[in-house]
Amino acid sequence: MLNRLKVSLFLAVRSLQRGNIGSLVLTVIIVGMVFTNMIFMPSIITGAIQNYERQSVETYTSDIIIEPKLDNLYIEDLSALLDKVNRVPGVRRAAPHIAAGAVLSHRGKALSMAMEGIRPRDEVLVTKVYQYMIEGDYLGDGDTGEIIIGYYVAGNKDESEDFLPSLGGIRVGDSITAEYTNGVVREYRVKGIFRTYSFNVDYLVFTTWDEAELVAGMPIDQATSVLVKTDPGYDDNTVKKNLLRNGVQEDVKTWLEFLGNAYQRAVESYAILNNITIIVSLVIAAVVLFVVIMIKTLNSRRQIGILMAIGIKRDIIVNSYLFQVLILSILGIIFGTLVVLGLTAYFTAFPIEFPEGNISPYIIPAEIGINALILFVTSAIAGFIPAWRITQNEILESMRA
Amino acid sequence: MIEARDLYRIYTMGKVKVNALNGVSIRIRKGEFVGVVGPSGSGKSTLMHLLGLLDYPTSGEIIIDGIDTGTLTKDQRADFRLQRLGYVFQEYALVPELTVYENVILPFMVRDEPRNRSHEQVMKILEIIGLGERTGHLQNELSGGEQQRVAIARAIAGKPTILFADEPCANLDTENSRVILDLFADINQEMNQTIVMVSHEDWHQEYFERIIKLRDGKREDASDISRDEKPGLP
Repeated sequence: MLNRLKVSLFLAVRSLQRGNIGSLVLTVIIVGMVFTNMIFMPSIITGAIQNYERQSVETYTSDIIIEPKLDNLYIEDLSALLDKVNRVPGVRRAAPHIAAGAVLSHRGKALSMAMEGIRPRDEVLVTKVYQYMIEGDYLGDGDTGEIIIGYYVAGNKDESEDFLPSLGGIRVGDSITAEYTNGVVREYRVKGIFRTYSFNVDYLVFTTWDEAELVAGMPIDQATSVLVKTDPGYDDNTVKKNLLRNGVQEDVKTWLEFLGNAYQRAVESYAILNNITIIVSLVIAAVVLFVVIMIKTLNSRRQIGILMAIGIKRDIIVNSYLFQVLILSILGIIFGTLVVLGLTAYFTAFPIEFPEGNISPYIIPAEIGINALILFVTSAIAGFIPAWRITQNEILESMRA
Repeated sequence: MIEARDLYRIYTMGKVKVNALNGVSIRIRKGEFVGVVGPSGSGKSTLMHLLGLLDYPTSGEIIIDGIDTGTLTKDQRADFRLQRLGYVFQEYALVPELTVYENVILPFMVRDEPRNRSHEQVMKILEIIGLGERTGHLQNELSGGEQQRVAIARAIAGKPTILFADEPCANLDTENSRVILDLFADINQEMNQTIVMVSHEDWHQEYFERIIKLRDGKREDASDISRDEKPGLP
């Protein structure tokens, strides 16, 4: 058996070495492009998902988010809660947010917004919005009369460039009027504009906790949410359990739970798209290799007949074509991998610009192996079938072809 | 060596039955150079295909080297052809991606014979057929006559019991045909190689030691095996 395989391999290598070099190169390129398609397109989608998750954790939810229990608008007794949370193993820092409804207006443009009051010293330890300032500065702890606004709130003078309703092209230093739902009206200077590329965050306005207390007219010991950053090496679910075990009574969610089932479904939909891409690619690879081997075997029918006549067993002939396909698919996979690595390096250095941010391909190494194996097996089947069929003919029938 | 008794081969083409062979019996002894001749459609190639185990008779028996080939399975027939029979066809049927040397050594590789001995034997036979200097050439670098000589080398290198040649000069001009026929004659005399060759050219007959004439699927010459004679089983 081993000897027969050796003969098959010998025939396959010689056929590829001395056969039509143009056909060989084209087939390798097609298989390589198919493999590139199998890896690269899903890597962009995975990159977009990773980007969205990273953005959400870095700028919107942090690792864990604590919200009021059902039917409550606020987390009460905030200082006690913060003391408790900050002592829980695995918690790096907790930062409270207090939201207040207001209508912002500037030169005839008005927007109904939630003003998020934050404690900047705590906030920089749980989110990285401060790293995404495109104009001006981040808030300082004692700032009052100043706000920072998201890119989509600031908007553009040319409304057609806005994705969402905006204040029509706000710049740092501009003045904005805020009419709060409790009747308080405040005039704010825009201290900074941030752009995180997350729709959720870039449509927010932040004030300091001190400013929120000025608007409320009293000290605030409640919050609409508390963002919790975990220590490196701690799993979010473990820290969540620690929080609950240490008596945190509020609604505690990891960032993934907070994004919710809708997000999970979106990820699953992306996974379906990825799978469709892979299946279509495999079908293309299978058809190409099937046609290549079918043409080869049809052109060699007489020669196959003669080989069978002189006593070369059918399995040697079939396996010689099988080896050819496997060698072609290995060369294609190597070529495709090089293309993918090249594209990944390029788009990592120069990310693709999307409204949701700059997206780089995200390749999971195991997926290269799995996809290579799937392509390998598919190729083997696609090559085997025509070779097997042609050797099922009677010797004389093949010789007379 | 070869005994074939009462060979019939009937092809069915739709509702029509064609009797390609009608009870042919023959005996070929070791070392003979036998020509099978006859007009087109007389059953020459059909007889050779049956004797060479490339096709199955509708009825009748073929005994080669004392083995009743009718009892062999498909795989055993393939082995039998590989180990004991050699073929030269009208088309040269070389593997185009293999060199002269590789085409000839291929059956040795399949038989898993020791490399050194195979190499010696292949080189020896290539020298005999006059292609010792062209071992590295590919099929498309050879003339028709040279390609047929390679096919002959491939067929005889393994020292087959019988060499079958089915109109091996059909695609060659007279000069090249003579080279091939001289080669067959030399192989037959010097190596005592049994050869069964199908031909429709009258001038080829001068090379044959004995001639089997067929017409309409029957022997036209006197049969060399009687109907009552027992087959030569051991």
